[in-house]
Amino acid sequence: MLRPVCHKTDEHRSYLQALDDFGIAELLAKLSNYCEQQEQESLAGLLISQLTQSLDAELVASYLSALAPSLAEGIALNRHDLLPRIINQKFSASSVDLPDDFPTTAKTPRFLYGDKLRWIGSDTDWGTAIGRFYSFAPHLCCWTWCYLIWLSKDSPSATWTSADIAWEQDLEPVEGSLL
Amino acid sequence: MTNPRPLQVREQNLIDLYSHCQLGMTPKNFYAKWDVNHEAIARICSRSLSTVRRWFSKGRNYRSPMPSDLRHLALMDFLLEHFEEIPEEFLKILCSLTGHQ
Repeated sequence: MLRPVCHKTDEHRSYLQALDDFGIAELLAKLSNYCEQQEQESLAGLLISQLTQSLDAELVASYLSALAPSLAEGIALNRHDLLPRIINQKFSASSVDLPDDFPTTAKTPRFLYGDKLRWIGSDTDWGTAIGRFYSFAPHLCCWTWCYLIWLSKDSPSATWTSADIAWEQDLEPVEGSLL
Repeated sequence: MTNPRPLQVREQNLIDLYSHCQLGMTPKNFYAKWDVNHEAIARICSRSLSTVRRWFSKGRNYRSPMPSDLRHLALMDFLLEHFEEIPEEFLKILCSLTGHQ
């Protein structure tokens, strides 16, 4: 059961961070469309409990095999849109292979070469998109676009590297003030 | 321009060994073993700080490093661990700007 914390302490910030990290904040926000706060918390607890009890071992095993490339680092089983995926989609080891229908079903890339982009949630690095490739994203358990970013000289990381790659969902356009 | 050096059996074996080598160390293990910050890890792997921070994130913000990142860290760990045993002349060759000619 989620317990609200009243004081703005480090512990409280960690608590909020954990809620966000594991998608619970988003679940509560979505539930707020349907019910009051007290009910939201009860319902969130109930839904998580149901998920725990209904986990299918075979499904989890298939999912883990699809995530194999990231196993060495531990697995993020809490991507916000993972819940519908893990329930509705049967993963197999072949998920990591390039989809047979590529590029027909691949989503149109959000960004173009030359776009000024920065890492979401980061107050540091930004740069120019100079390339992209289609790759299997372990955290999404599907194929998506990854961009090559030429770092701006203003980026702290430009001190030791001129470029880096980032998944499409981790990037956003740079606002005018940085340009 | 000189001709490339021909490979003997031992060199072919060495290439075989290297190409099948599963050398790798996770950022978390490296961070736990050596007193470094995220910037040092970013420098070792030639990655941005933004990327490295995601390797240490939890939940939906977590992103896994690439196999090449794991190898970078394993090699750095090897060098740090065996620093005293590596002859200075080899270190100079390894880290010289011009490389081993």
